[in-house]
Amino acid sequence: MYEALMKSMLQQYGADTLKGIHHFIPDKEPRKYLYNLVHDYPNRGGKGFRPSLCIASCKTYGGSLDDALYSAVSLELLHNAFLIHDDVEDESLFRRNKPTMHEYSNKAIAINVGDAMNVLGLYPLFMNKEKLGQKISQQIFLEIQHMVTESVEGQALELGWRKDNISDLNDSDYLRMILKKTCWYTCMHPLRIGAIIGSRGKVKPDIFNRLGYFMGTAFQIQDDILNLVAEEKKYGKEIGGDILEGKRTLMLIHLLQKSKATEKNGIRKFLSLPIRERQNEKAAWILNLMQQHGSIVHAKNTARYMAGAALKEYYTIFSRLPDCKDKSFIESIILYMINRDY
Amino acid sequence: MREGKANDAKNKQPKGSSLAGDLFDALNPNDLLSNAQKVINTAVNVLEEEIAAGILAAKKIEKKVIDVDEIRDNPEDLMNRIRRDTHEAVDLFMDAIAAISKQLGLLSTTIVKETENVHKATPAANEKNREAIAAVIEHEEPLQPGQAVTLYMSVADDTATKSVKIQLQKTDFCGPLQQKILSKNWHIKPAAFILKRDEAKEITIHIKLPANCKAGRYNALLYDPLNPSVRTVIGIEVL
Repeated sequence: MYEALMKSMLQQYGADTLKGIHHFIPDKEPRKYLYNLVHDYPNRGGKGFRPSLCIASCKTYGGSLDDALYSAVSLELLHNAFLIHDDVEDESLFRRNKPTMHEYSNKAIAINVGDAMNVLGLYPLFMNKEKLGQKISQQIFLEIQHMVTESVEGQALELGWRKDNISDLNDSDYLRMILKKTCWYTCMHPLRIGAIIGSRGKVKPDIFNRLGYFMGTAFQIQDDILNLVAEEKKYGKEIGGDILEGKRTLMLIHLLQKSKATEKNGIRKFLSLPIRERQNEKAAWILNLMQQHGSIVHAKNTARYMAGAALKEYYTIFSRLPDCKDKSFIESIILYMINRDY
Repeated sequence: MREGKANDAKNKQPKGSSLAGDLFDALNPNDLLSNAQKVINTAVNVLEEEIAAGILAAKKIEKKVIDVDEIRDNPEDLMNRIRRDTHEAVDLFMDAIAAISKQLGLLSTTIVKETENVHKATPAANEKNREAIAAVIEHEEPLQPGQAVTLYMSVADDTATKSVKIQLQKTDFCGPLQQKILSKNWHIKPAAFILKRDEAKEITIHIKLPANCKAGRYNALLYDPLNPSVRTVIGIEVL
């Protein structure tokens, strides 16, 4: 599938989902401090990976857009709730080329908006029973429950590492954290949920675990690489922001393993400072060290290995299914995840 | 199994996609312990550990919210619950096995992960029949003669108050028309181990089908003669 077609499908499914999101946001007070803000992050136009994967997986297994839409809406609402809270936790300045919510509003308001989005994300799941029946709806509800649990556990791991300035992590630690924080909710559950809906519960969702895990890992590592080397306008966030935030990326973990004692001490000292006291010059020094020690190359290679493994899983699972646009779309997404520049 | 799948997958990859080709090349060096292999193996181990941990945690929660005594008394009701909710099936099955094991004072339980398809044996109303319950692990897809697969399972005993010694033994695979796949064609690792209290031990089952293997459905038994409730049926289908 041509990248342009894949992108147009992402855009279309993203737009369908956004329309659904608007439908589920109450049109009532308090608008200024809550409901208008709930629209903000979804309206900024994210990539739409999660709802698109869910819809494409559903259609590949014989379902329709309509069948998957409520679940896609729920996934995207919950994703945006995570982002708002994540931005507060990371003290991030920009999201999709605009100031983060807590920056233009305040932390208390932003946290409350995130809470509201989490709750709003539940109602589409309840509505699923009208379209899909009780059994499938309950199964999807448990999928979402597991997804959110894994995500908060992963986030807890990373926040804890940063709080305690943990510096002796290895690749396994990183992969575990990413599995929990990113993969379940970015790829594994969207694919699983779509297939459950499309097949009316006949497909065993566990078959997508490795595919979604490899995809999600490739996606996250690429995202972390872009945070260091992308064009800021395209990427939509401050470049090098992850270093300033002390995010335990694969590059930072690799650097801490490979750097000399003096360098490691310098990095640790930098990471022990409160985020707002960390200086850009020092972050640039760490980025330079990452380049010197091959940390970025290591991360790029790992992302490629993961994407390769994801492709193998994809062909294993999907080659027996009839060809269709949505099936090709999922394949294209895998390639796009490591080929993208934003 | 993953190697087999991987090879199948490679054969099915589309031509003309250079990026996809590059990605596959990165995964198929001559050196089996290449960086790619190491990274993927590490990743897979992490995934499987996490899934096993999730199953155990869910099981513990399930035990808190269901009346285990009632389940022991009415296994048919348990099976109805299993049928009602496939998502919880593995956890509830674990509870059934654990509850029965506790009554018999025996070790038990198999958690089946990822590659398996868990089929429930029918629990009977009395203890004699309960002894007949065994977990079943089936490979998801039919296999070709000569193909090698790896299955995984975990053994845990949350009723044990002390460590238990487990010594697994295996039978031949029996198939249609008295066809057999000899036990030398499959291996378990580790076959003997000490299972500590609250520990889940992962077992790898590696099966290499003979090239002249006849088509049909085959079953073998994995069991511990000293712990009669530890028994698992391994099922495969050969094309």
